[in-house]
Amino acid sequence: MMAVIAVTGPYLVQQAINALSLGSTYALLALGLAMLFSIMGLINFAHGELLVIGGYVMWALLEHGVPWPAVIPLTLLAPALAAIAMERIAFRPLRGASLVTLLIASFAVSLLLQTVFQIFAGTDKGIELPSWVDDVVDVGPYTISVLKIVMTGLTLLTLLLLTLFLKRTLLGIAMRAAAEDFEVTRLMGVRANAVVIAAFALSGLLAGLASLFYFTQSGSVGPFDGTEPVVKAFIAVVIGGLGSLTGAVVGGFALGITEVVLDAALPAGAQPFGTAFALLVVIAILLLRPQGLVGRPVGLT
Amino acid sequence: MAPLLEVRRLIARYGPITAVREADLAVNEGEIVALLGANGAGKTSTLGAISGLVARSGEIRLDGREISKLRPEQIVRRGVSLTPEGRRVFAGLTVAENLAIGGAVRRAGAGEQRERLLELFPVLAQRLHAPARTLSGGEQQQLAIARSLMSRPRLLLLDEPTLGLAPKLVALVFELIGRLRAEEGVTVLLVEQNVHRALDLCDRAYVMRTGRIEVEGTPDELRRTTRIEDAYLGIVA
Repeated sequence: MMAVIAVTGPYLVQQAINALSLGSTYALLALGLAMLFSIMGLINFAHGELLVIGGYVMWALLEHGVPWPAVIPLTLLAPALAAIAMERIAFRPLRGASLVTLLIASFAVSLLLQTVFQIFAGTDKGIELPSWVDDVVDVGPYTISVLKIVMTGLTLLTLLLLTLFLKRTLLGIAMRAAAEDFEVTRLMGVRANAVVIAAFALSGLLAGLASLFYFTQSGSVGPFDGTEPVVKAFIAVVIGGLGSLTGAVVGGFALGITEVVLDAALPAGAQPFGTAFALLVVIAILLLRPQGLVGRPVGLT
Repeated sequence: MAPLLEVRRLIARYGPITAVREADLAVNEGEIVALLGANGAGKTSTLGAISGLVARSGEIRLDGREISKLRPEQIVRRGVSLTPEGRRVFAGLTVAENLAIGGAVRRAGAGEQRERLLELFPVLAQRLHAPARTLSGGEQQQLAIARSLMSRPRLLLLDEPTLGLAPKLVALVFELIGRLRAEEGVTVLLVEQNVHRALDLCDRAYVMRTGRIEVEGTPDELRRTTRIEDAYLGIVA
């Protein structure tokens, strides 16, 4: 850790922005996972494929010369629609099924979609990125990537809007109620489908935003690109505390910061094991706080 | 006049377990009817079946219209609201948010209804923006009842509203149930372990035993019949 503290100012700011932007992607994905888990007990491993759908939509639109102002909303929308379809086709017939049944179903959906991607898209597709993704801005002695600042800012804005939605709208309040006690929420006349569809749509929208961030950085999209991010997001959910939305966000940023710090602090020889070290930190956190960083076990907090 | 609620040959099941076996009961408009019996007699299952939470067969009619095929969210729209056993308020939501969910099915006039209920339950007005988990047991029970009343039901199903409350609060809850009928015109079907208080309050009562309705009558009739004492072993003096 000394290595990090000893580094110079510009480097530290650079790394902080890296950590926040990486954490943003994790946080957005983790939020989607946590939302579905808290409301319907589903750990959705097909969430990563929503990210990939966003990537393919982005690629296809750009290939056809669609301008960015249209690409951005469509990339957000496509995973949301895919999530709603996923609910209708795969998960609605399993409403009320056990955690394990739902988990296995989500693996099935994930594998199915990966196969579909392989059949129709084949190998990795390069995404034609505009030059502005590489823009940097000089703030005093710091040179900072504009894209990463925008990513972090948009994530914070999204979190703010989501919080307002959950606190101020009846549907949002109903979603929080359903996360605590779905049965009583239905007793109050709230339609189960409305809450579940809203949860899937929101988790898809968040995945769409993560898509924009993820693929403008990676520059290409492939059939299996969703796997690693969804595992990372799941780790973020667990670090934060399963079932807590705040926890998912905290966990996402904590994981992003951990990875960036380790990346900077580990000696060159240990770099290939960066993920292993990150997982060690995760294990340490869970040993100290088994309930996660944001501690209550139930409800949307 | 047809009863407000008429239940005939009701069977309620949890998977392979039959909790209610061909129960018949009726509640007339404006009545307070008690459903008594020992633990496991099928009282909560009966309320759950009427509300659509528990798998059921048989006839359940509200104002003569069959509701036994409807889902819980449809039944509350017909004017039947259940205050479940154990209160089950949304602990992480504020009092105001709990009430908002209760009023979700009748948003027109929900504001006025909330004002009326806050007058009836002044303690909730004081704690309006506190999370429900910070309320005492008695306050949570009042919130649970107020939440059910936000949909302005014609029939309120109350499941063990005094369970776990201190004697003073038990008296308060019974007084409130009486006032709900007198002032709001709410019809009540009440499941209660507190047999004597329930008999003091209700117009008629049913006694359940092992999933069947064993006896039915007015409080006086039930008090006179000694064999009733056996039917509800859970009797508390």
